Amino acid sequence: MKVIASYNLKGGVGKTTAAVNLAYLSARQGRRTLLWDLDPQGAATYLFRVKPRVKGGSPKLVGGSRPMLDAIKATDFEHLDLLPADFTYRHMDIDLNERPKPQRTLRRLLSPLSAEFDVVMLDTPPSLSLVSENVLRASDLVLVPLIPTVLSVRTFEQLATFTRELKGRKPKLRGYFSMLDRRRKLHQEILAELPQENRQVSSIAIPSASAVEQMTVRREPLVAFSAKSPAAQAFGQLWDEAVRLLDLPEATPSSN
Amino acid sequence: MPLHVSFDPPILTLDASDTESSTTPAAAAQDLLRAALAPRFAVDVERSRVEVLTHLDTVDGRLHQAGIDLAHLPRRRRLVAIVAGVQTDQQVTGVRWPALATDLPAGAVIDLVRKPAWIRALIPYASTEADTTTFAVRNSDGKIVVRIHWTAAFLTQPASVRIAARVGIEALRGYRSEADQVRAALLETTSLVPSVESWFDTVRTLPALRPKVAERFGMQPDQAADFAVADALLGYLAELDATVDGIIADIDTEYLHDFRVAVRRTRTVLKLLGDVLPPGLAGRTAPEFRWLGDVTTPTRDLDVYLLELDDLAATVTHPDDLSAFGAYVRERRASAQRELAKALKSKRYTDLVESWRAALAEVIAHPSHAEQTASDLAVERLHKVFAKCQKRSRKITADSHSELVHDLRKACKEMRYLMEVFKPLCDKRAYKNVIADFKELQDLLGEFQDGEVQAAALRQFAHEMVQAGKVDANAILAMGELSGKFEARQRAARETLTEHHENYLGRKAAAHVDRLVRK
Repeated sequence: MKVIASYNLKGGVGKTTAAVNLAYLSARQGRRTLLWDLDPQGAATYLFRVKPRVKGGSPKLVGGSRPMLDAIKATDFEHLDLLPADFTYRHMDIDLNERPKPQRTLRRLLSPLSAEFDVVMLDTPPSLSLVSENVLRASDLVLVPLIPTVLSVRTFEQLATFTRELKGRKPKLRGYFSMLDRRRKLHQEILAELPQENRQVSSIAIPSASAVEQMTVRREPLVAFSAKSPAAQAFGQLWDEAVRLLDLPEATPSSN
Repeated sequence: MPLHVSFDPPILTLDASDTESSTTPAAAAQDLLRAALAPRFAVDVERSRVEVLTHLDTVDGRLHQAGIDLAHLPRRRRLVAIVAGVQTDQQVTGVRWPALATDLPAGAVIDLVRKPAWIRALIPYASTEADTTTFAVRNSDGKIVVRIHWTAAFLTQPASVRIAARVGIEALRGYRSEADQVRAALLETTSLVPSVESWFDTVRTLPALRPKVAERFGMQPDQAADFAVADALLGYLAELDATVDGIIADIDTEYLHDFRVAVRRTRTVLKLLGDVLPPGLAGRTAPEFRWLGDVTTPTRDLDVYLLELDDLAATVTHPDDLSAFGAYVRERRASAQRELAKALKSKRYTDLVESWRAALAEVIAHPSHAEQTASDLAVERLHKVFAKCQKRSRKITADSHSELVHDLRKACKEMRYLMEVFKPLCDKRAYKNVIADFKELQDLLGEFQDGEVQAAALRQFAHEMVQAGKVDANAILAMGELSGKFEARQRAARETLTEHHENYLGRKAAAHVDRLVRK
């Protein structure tokens, strides 16, 4: 089982959009995939039409008295399940802190799921907190959406430094561009230069598109309803890159 | 990937009153589901798919007995096995049925069926076409919480028959209570009825799949002796009918084995009980059944070699040296099989079975042995043949000629077949005891006989192969080594037999025989 996080300290940069579409792509290739919506705002949960509620909430889930498998819901898509968001996740830092070795709790909670899932995708809240540290320690790959601005690039470098300094197991870090507007000169410059300067940043760019906004109206992954749109194609490339980075074994495509 | 055929219980099926709607088109099924589940749930068609299934088992149902349901989905090039509700899949290409599991490529499904299928071929017992529409059942958020798989199906082989529609309810993870609500609503408001029968069981129990067997009466103690004997013989004739086509088509070696057992049983009955049949009938028929025994012997003997070849090869110093022998036996077997098929397709065979059937029917229609009942006959003949076994057994000493051992073997075989004929009249416990004794003794005698026959046959094969220039020194040496082992086996069996044969046919065994059938 491989764990992938969609993470950035900043909000509104396309983390949930990526998590939802990449999880969908993983499942469509036949991999048993779980998307855990760790963001108490529950956007990913909303997109899959699941109620943002986990019985017992974060305290019971993190405390281990509520088995993770009992809280999981099927989505409408084959091989893709969801661990929904819950409003109590806003206090997850406190719940984690009460556990022994609090920075490694998430990894410990996920480990029993390895018999059920091939891929776990974590959709994370925007922050640098105990939850984020748990996410980094639990993940094999962290995908970081970057809006092509100077500040965004600086934030990525901060995250890279933080990850490097983690003791013990470290995830692979991969930045990619999100909400790209090709009409903007600065976006084009950063897109051309940054992947050359920083090998942790991919040249893949998810364009800013109205089709992406349609996801919230249709409540479906973009790839499911507009597979040929440029943004969906870019998510396909990003997923292929993740498969390569994680060396994921071949899977049997599902009929969805 | 789900098959989109609802194999697993719990399911709902339409009851008999709904046969008209059992091929309910998707739209009608959707109307029924919508009406039953509104307003809490919305229903829409998610997908539809037609599956063609070739249902497979051995002719004697070994997979079913082992709890395995097997199907080939030719359009998808997949083999599917279901064991205790768990589905296993394997890709297969270019398979033609019947086929031996050992000849099919290894994989999850073939590995599962090889052992229970044994040496029997997998043959299609039915073909079905299942048209499954999957309905998405959505809650008030538009989320799919349950899937309903509505399957309208047809049996297409061996007959064209409509199968009652099946409705499978798939509970999605985390939505079990919604699935229960859907099930309850369907049971309450529609004519769907619960069923725990698997899809394979539904197909297997269709009247069109019931084997056509000759009418039999079964042996009763007070039946006229000739009636009872003719009825038993009709049973063996039915076995010939059931296996002859499999031998001609060379499906697997057990068809011939079963055929020969029925021939041997018929010959034994003709010999030991034929006098109760109309005068002359047994005398006229016996030579024809001897002919059937003779024409089937070469192929069977060679089958036995081929079936044992791997095990035999493992016992010699250089197993590969036996490959020339294996190739020679296969060549001889192919030729013997052609001759056998010719004999079984001949007018002589057709005339034999048809005249035999007519003669037995005549006996059953007009039994004439009212003065002697089946149980009278059983008591008299079982004791007579047992006495013959005892007499022959007493002649066996450490120095006696092997012919005497063969004579004992033949008598024991007759006793065993006779017991099988009269089994319906026998006391169950006594029967079990006597059969157990005879089985052990026959195994020992068989070991002796096989050792001798196989050693002699090997010598014969070696001569033939040398004459045909189909052998090298290594093969001859390996065959010699094998022959030595057969002779050693024969010697060991003979020693055991000399020491113990009286244990099987002594006073205790005689007491069991006395209790077998009461007059």
